Amino acid sequence: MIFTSTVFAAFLVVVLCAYWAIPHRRLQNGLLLGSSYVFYGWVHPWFCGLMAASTVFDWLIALAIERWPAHKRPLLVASVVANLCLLGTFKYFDFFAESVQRVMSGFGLEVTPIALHVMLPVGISFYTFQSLSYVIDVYRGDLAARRRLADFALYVAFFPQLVAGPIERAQRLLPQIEAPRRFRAAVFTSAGPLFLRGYLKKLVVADNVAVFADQVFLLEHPPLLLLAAGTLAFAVQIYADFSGYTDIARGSARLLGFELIDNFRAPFLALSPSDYWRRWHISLSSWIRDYLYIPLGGSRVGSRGRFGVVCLATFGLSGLWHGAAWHFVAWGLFHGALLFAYHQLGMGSRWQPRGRARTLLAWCAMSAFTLAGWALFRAPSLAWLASALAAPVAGLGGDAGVASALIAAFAALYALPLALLAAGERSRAPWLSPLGAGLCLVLVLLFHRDVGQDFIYFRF
Amino acid sequence: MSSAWIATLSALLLLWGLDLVLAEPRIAGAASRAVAEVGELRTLVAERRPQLVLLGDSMVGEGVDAAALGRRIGLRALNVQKGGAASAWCYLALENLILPAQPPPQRVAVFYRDHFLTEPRFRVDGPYRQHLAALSGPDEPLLERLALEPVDPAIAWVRRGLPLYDRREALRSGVHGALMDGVGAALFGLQRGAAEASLTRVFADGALDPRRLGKRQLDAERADDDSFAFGRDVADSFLPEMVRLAEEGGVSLVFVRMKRRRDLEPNREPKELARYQQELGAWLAERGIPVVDFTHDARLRPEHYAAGDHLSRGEGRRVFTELLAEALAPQLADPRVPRS
Repeated sequence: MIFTSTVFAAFLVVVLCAYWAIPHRRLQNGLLLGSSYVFYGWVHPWFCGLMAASTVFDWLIALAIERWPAHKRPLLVASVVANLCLLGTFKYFDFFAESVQRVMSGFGLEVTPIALHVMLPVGISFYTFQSLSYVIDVYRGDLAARRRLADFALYVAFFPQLVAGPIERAQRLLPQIEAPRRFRAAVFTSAGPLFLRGYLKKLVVADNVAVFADQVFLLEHPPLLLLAAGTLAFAVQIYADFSGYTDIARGSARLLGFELIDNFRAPFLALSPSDYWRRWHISLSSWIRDYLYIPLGGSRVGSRGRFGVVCLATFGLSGLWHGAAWHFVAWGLFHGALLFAYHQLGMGSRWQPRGRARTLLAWCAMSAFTLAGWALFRAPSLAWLASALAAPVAGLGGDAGVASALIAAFAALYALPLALLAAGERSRAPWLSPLGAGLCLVLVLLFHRDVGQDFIYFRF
Repeated sequence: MSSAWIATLSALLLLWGLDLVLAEPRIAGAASRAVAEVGELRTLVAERRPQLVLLGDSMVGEGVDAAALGRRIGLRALNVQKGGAASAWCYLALENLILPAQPPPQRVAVFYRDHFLTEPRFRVDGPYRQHLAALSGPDEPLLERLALEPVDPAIAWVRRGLPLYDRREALRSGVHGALMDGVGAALFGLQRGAAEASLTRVFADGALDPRRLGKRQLDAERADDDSFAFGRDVADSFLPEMVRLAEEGGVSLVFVRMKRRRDLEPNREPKELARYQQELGAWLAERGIPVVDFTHDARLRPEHYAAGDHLSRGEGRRVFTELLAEALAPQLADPRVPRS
């Protein structure tokens, strides 16, 4: 079930009515759990079996860790291995098999590729990470293992954030699941703007700008200028798409009395790589920081070389998390290298440029790096990108120059609602927000495309 | 007054204000370019006075050399095609463009793929809506019922209450057109329409990666591909009305099934589709209408294809035109049809 369908709207209304009519928290949780599985298995019911198996396994492992602390390490390893096997089978098997085959054929050894061709269960990367973080927290003693399977299962399957995040920590979401919730009208009215904002971002901005970005990345040999314009359009698309999803997820959760974390904090204003990862996909970047980067030593490792390895390993894995393709890995490595380089230049996590000129320079540099990263991310393959970059640079005139200017103009046109939203959020004029909401509604009704696209992060 | 009320009221005021400013009849909300294209087609039909019309989408435009075909079979042939056209467009073109021509053509060959003849909602939304609107008569109850009336009750409700909703595609293309003309004039000193023409040339099918274009095409079509069964779908399609209109207008139909890139590999045609074709063929045969099917014609080879399902403009078009002439000749051997 997807957030932009009327089926979801009907589903949400039915769930809300039933949910708030039930006075008891445990029954409410039961209803939420059942509806989350209906939501998840709407198109492919077998996805539910996989998620249920993963949930029960991690729940048992966490209990076992608490029960037998002397054996907690192998138990943790078992959970990590099981979760990685799940991901490995459904997400990465074909990719690795194909990569091995290519390497072998590079050495002149022809092998028949083994491919599973299994369908990637939507949201598997998100719920696996969520489940894994719970087990690690229990292992570290930061969280008590939960006795009630239903509560933990709801934490894993909670439908507003199940398929594309935000990746919630057990320490934040489980207490909310276990606490009684009361219906409050104020919560309802505060959820409305989140929905409107989300639908505006997805249906008006992301779906419209996607048409232009997709065309550029469908070209066989794109001129460099056009590639740059297409990447700009994609940057607008992916931000609007993903942050729009998060807004709708947060709005849905709020209607049920839950508060999810905000995944984005104006990422286009970032001044350095560290700053960027504090603003973009915050729930994933903080997950990677807490469960991978810091345990590997983070920025406090002794040698420069080791720090470089930590950066590359962390971000390379983060890239791989996004998708089973080398260009995603390259995107991660690029960001890892960027973080390392900035650190080496004394522009680490607490760095702030002084003065307007330096701030502007830092912003321009970081924006250019981010865009270069998006080119890696969106490119159909590394070979395609390499050939585009190696092509001779065409002049500003001619069809390619005109097309590049038009694509950039379309990206700017559709970024305008995002800028207005940001300005509206900062304004304190009391009349602006309802008027803005009215305008959002008009734009959503008149500018949504009949044939939209799936949310980008559904693929991950 | 609460914020929610102010928001709703301001939205309603804005919408109805826009509705007043952009007042137009419902179905006539086509962008001027789509109207101009239909006008050009109408002129072409009037000028060429074709005896055989080849009706379909860009696969016809790319794959058939109408002049060469005409020479080969001894009839004046004309392509009446629109990129992305599907059954709704073909129905409207037959009803409002081909049959009213004076004199009307004696033959119309309708080109189709897979099960799209009985998929009335295929390609009727988004930019396609404008082209349908441009071809529509003042009242099109069948089009409205089969293709335009939303399946989704929420959308149907919005559409009834907000006439502007049907014109949003024209609104969007108006905004896009103004932006393109503005940028083209300001940065490159281009005249109206020239910037858009540049964009069209840059993203022409030939410039796109054929493998990924083909995949995207298949993916897009798979979305509409839930299930199909000829016996179930035919009554709620444009096909019976097309047959009736042709009979009434004294025009003979022939249906031509195009070979898709997918079918270059043997046995790739899904079983359900093969069954569908059999039933379609039988249904048409009962009405004395022939079908020519190129799906399994091995003479169309991979090197004849360009992007996606399109045949190449050179060799692909030449070979297919030959094959078409060969296949159509027996079907067109009707003594009532005078040769040019």
